[in-house]
Amino acid sequence: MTADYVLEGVRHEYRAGAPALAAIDLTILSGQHVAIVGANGSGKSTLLKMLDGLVFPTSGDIRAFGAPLTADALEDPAFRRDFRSRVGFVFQEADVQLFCSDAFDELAFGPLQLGLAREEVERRVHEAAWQLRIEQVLDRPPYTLSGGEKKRVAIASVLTMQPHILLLDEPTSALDPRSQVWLLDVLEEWKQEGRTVVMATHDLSAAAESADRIVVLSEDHTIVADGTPEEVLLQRELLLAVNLIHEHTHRHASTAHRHAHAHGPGSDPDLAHGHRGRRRV
Amino acid sequence: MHIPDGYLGPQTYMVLDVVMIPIWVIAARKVKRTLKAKQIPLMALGAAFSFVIMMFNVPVIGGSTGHAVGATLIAIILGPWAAVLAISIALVIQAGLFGDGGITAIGANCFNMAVLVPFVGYYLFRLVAGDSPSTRRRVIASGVAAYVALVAASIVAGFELGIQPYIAHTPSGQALYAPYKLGVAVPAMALEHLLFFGWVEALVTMGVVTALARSEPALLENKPAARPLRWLWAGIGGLILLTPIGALATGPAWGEWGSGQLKAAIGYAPADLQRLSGLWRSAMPGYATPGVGNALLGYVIAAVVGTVLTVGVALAIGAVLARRGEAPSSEASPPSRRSKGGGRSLARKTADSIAGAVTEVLQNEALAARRGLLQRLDPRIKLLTLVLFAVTASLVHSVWVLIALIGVTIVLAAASRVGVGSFERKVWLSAGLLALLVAAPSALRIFTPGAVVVPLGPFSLTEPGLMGAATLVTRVVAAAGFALLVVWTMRWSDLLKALSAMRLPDVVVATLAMTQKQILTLLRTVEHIHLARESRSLTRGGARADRAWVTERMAFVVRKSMKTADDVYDAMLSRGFTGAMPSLVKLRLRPRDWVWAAASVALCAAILYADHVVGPR
Repeated sequence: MTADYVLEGVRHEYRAGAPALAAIDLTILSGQHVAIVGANGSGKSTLLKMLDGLVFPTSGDIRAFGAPLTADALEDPAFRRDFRSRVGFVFQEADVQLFCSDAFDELAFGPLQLGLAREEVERRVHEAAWQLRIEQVLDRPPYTLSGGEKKRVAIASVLTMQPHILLLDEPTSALDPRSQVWLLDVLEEWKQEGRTVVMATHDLSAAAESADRIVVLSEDHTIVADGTPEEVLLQRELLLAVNLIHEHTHRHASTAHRHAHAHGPGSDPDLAHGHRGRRRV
Repeated sequence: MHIPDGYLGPQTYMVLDVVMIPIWVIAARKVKRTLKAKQIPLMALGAAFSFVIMMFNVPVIGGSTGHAVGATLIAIILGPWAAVLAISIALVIQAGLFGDGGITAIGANCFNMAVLVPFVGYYLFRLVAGDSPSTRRRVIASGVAAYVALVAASIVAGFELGIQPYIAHTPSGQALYAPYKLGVAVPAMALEHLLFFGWVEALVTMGVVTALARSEPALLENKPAARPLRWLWAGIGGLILLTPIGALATGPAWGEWGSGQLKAAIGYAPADLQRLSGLWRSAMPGYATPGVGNALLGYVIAAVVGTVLTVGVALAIGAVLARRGEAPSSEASPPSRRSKGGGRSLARKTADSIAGAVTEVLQNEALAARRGLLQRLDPRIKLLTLVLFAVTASLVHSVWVLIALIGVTIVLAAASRVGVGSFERKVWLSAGLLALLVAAPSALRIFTPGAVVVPLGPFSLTEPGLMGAATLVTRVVAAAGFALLVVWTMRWSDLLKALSAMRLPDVVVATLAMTQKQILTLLRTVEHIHLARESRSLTRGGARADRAWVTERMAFVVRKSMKTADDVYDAMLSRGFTGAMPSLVKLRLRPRDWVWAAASVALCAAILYADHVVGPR
């Protein structure tokens, strides 16, 4: 299997002396579904932006599809076109990503920037709109859409570029439970289609459900665990240490007990001892 | 300082519309060179920020609140050329989305607020602040710059209004546009800003600069776009110097009334005025030796009149603002948490006005989606014909023809199913009432001499005065009606499509599109901030504390805007953005568009012909 990304000794600093990422070694294989998990501020978003060629390592190397991914390389129109058409990024805040005047223009933006013919652009727009069930909202301005619709439009606007790799930043945040389930189905479809998915999240249950590999970032911005969901989620001490789960004390009938606790709907009951079904007194 | 349609004659607004074109082109080039592809999100957020700043209520004194333009602040943060574009975009959106400020007067408004203020403010700030790293000095410099720049712009606006009676009037002395001569218009505008709005502007600018110096000092650094074109700088300086001189030189039109003339006009001369006039006539016989003292005295008297006018105008604006956002359309009444009358806290007031603005935009979109006459037309044809009607309204001289034009707006509103009642209410609230208030005193003989029709001693109304006032009000109402028809029958996305199809640079259209969206997003954030404060505050703070809080929040909006600009730019880059914005706009003209276009041109021609026949020349 070929590697989509190879990162070696990557460090990134927004300000000198305050790294957002430190000593990152990471290889992402084509077709893998990787969840990057970590507490707020651990560098997940920076890592995703780096995979999308929006920020670059202060030191260390990153290669995408075998070629160095640098600011200079992206200045080359041919490389940029190739890279941008292969990699799609769904931002955490749909409001940031939806910058056109209506949903149709939003979906057409990427293909138009790639210089595709008008017919091809329209075909892709309608195909993506049909896939994500947003045909009825195509002529509406983004601010009249609900949160779930915005997310769909944001994802569709990336899908029209038909990327091989999808980068998703906190995809389940701001989604109601039904939309979260829908999103997990979409991720499953992409897996069948052989696309590579890298998502940043602190929703462990979503990560466990859809990813086949989990990478844990610590609060000092390094990778502290990397493995299958089963391997990683069993390391409770570690997950506690990086602030992804927390000790939680509460009472059942007359006995108090402590256990590790993760938040998020549909949490794995083995890991996250939920409250449901325990109200009996 | 937003000049609505109808106050400026075509000779003035057309000149300023034309003047703005090269300024925009130069500004666009400068900005493109320094910001490259990032210009679109940065301009859009700058404009959105400029728009949102105008929505903040700032406590001044004695429970009164005003709002700032924030133009000097934007120039300090973005540099003057970028500020020209950002504020222009904000003004275009105010006109196109909310119907604030005129269509024909867009050049004048942009010149005053988007060119004069940023340039005067920016260079004054640099001059006073120097290279000193002292925050205190920068804060003071920003306040001085903001105050002077706004007052300077208000004087120029007063000049633009004050030259109208000289340029256009009928043989009988009836004013066709803004009715007050320089001696009244300039002091009235200047005083309003010297005493009130200038302080709001200075307080806001200083507050935000203080907060930014603490949290984001990099935003206040010298901007690379700062190399001034010497001629432009000199030109603006010259204009500012010339304006009061011009006012003095032509001031006699106002100060000239000797008691003899007054006696002839009014029937008697008030004793005080007689004594006063003797005072300044003796000091300034026939203007042979114009001295400072006389000019000052003339100004003092003009200022008194100006102040009276100002108070009236401020009250009217307050009344209009208080009712803003209340049911511009017949359905979907605004949020019920709006508590009526006084006693509303600052936070609640701002949150409400913002909620009103957002509601208004959404209601406008709903109106534009109805299937009426204008909504069915091609957006380009609709825009062009409605602008043609607005220009026609600015050319007509006869009150009766103007009334007929108002009739045309009502018929079009009815045919477009936007609700005639709410249409007229909105027109009068946004423009008509203010015009009525501004125009009313001009009917007095002291302002407009002529044949007395209503003898009331010193408050006699003259025929040319009444007709002039009626002309202004009907013209403003007609023009505001056409502008509102654009806003109410054209969805924003359609307007952008029309502009794009009319070959406006795609970068401009893209920036406009992004600005509108970012305005709504920022407004929602600001509304939530204010509601969050309202929900936590138990007691009222003093004006000073409130002001500190408001300016802190504005600084937050600055930081948020700039951060969002970065994020949006990333999102654009991520999808392969190269700097161009191609679009798939496909508009096709249908027979009904051609029929409508022909009918509009014919109607406008007929209106102008009728005016030529019946109108005063």
